[in-house]
Amino acid sequence: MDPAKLNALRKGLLEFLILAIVSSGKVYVADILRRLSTTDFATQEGTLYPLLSKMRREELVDYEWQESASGPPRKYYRLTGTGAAQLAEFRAYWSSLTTLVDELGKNNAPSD
Amino acid sequence: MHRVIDISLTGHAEPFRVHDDAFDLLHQYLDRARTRLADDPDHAEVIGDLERSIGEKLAGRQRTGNAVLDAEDITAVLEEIGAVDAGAAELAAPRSRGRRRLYRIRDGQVWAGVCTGLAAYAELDVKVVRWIFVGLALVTVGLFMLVYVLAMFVLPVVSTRDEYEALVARDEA
Repeated sequence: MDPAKLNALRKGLLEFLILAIVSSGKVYVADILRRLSTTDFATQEGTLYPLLSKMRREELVDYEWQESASGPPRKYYRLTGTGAAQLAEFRAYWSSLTTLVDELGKNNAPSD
Repeated sequence: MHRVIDISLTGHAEPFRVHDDAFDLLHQYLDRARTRLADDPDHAEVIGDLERSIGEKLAGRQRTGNAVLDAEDITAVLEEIGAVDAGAAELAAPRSRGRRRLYRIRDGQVWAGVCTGLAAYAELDVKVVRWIFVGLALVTVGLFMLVYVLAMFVLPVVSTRDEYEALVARDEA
């Protein structure tokens, strides 16, 4: 399929995938990059930092500083209550969407 | 022959020693990042995040390679980090619409370009706007003309509709 068509969709979904990754516990940016690197949603820090700071502004995620052995302290992100609620909402919406897409496909079959 | 410049990055106590062309590359990257993040209320924090990460990667290259970093080092690190994409954050939080601003437009003006400006703003034919104006002026026994005079003083001016569209496109970008 034309990759450009899917780009907008991918971009919009990225935020929810980050919510899902952060929900697995305390993660820092390199963890997020690594989890996404093998997927269709591979991204870079130049995209991630502005997005994470926006998500923090919206109080979906929060971070705390933690010392690192090999450089400056790192921001470890975790989900807030609002973030967890939004992720649950998104998961429900997503499964209703996939059901919808499946069902719409079946409408081509003759009904009796 | 390259000059060596010390550059300090957020979160890193020690400055990095880089060639002047490498310094320029880094400088340009951060400048572009600042421009793209101009509307981001947390732009200073995001720049800090970027600098911490750039520094960490540069330190890694310093340990295994040259003490003075060259353009190749910087290019590799910046490619890994990628261009700052404020769009991902913007898409997730669409800007409120209606940022189109009203201008007076000189091109095609009859009096002061208020109607041509309004027409461009509302995406209407300027004739329609003029008839509405004249109509309102008649109905209000000329009182509505005050609105025109007020608009003359308040609205900024551009010379053509193309220029107006370019300004609007820039505002919405």
